[in-house]
Amino acid sequence: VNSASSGQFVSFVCGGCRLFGTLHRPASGVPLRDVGVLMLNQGPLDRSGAHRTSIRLAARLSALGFFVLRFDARGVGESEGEWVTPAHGEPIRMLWKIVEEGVWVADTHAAIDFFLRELPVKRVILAGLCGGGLTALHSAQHPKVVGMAMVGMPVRPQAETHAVSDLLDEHIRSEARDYVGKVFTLAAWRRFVTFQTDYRTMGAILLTNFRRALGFRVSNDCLVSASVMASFQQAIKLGRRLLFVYAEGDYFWLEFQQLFLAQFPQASYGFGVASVPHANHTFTDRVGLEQLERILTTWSSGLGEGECQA
Amino acid sequence: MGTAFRRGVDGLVEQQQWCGEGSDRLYTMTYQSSGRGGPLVVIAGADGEERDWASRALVTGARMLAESGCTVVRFDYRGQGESGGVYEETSVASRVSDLLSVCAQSRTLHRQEPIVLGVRLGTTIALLASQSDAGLTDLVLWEPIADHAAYINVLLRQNVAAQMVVHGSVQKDRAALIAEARGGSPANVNGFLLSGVFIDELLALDGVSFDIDRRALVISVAKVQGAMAALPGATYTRMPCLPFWKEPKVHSAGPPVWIDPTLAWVRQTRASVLREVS
Repeated sequence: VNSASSGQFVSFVCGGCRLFGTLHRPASGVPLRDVGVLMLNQGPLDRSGAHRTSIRLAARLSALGFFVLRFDARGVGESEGEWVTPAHGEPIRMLWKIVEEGVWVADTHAAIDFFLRELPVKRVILAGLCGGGLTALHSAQHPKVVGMAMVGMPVRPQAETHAVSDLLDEHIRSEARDYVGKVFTLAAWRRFVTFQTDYRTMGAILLTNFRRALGFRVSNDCLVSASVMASFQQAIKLGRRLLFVYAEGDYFWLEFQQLFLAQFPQASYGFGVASVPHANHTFTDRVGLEQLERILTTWSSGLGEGECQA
Repeated sequence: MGTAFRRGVDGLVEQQQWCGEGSDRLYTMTYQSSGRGGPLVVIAGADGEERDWASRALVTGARMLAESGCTVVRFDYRGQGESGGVYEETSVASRVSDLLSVCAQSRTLHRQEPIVLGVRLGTTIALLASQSDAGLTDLVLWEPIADHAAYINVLLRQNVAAQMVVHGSVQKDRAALIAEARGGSPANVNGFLLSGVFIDELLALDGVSFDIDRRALVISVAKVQGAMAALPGATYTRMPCLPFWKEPKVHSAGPPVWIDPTLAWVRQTRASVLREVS
């Protein structure tokens, strides 16, 4: 975890903007791998990642002989570039939408080119959490990309799933069951009468569940977002290795199983899927985080078996 | 996608540097208009998850101050962002020490006393640092934490909410989390592990009055309460601002609006430095 302080400052240019990054060189005495790992911003958070997840993972990978580059894309962290859209004060989901559609592909390709130009790596693995996973998927067409690890990646457009009524049936039923199950719980009533309950969410869940029980439902026809489908199919066509990882406490895991896997069966497409029990979207629990790190280092090691000349 | 971004200001020099040595060294970034050496501002940022959400706003804020002639230094406390160290091993005292180290390095490099711009918990750190460094005479405090017990309470509420997500029920309440932290098992707040020492240091601050004689500009959304409301040399300004230190509900473009009154105050406070530069 301390390896943040062993990083090397780097910068490169994308679209006329200077992007800042931190490069982690392989630990001394370890055979150097010819595959580098590029870690992508998960959204508006800087290159250290939520609670420094990216730094932790970079430390583990560099200990295994990988060159690892964490960088801030345009408009995030320390890098240059101000968002033209959305406008100040617009819902944040409008920014998610732009990220989901691949706004940082050019930044990622610039980082890959920097990697190949400056370091003795021949191929690159892309890794990212949430929006970083989407950026990885959309950036697969770069010829030097060998694989992508996508963690907690949303498969539906977030701009279309901001209301309780947009959530999948199974989730609504499960949440409603939880609320009903608490009717005889003293602690739950205590929270309810002391204004600690999220009344709006509870009301929306129960109302949506009731409406669906009566047969009123919003169609989930949009299912997997068009940009995800297109980039996924292209990545498969290009022979990229794909790994999807989810926390089992993450709602995106449910959507991935029910929507994505239903449309793209794992057995037909040959990608990897892993899930981490008792973890949430950003893996805040240390046990889950360490399991995630083991999954990603094992998978990356399998892809990066070649050695390179220093 | 080619038009999603516009370039920022030309002519700014942005330089990454380490402060200190070894595995606990601190990451700093300096922003300066080329050829200018105006007032020096060191930013003592927010903490933990608030630091993560606030980082972009403070970068754009630093750029705006630099564009207006200031030399600005941002840094990460030990165990946070790009700095070395481990979060759970840090304390209020270590944060104060980090700020003092960065101020000392900045003072040497830029040959003037810094103004410290504290944000959220950084306001507390700035005040504590100014008590032990006579050179820190000018402070800008954004959204100070008036009640540290309430601050801890809000943080621990996130742990409780996370328990609901992962386990479907609350297994440890806030009192139990604090007791465990004191016993050596840090309280996990969205991935940031709060040690018992850190929690106790924060709780002890609520009985302390910051009766230091420093010039200060305090900017907040709501009226400041407690000891923070009674700083002898402070000017208090209330101004609406998007809470850039929290997970955003709306997009916030550009620097926080608090930059404008901050810049005006810096210009007034350091008029002599600006005259020398111009």
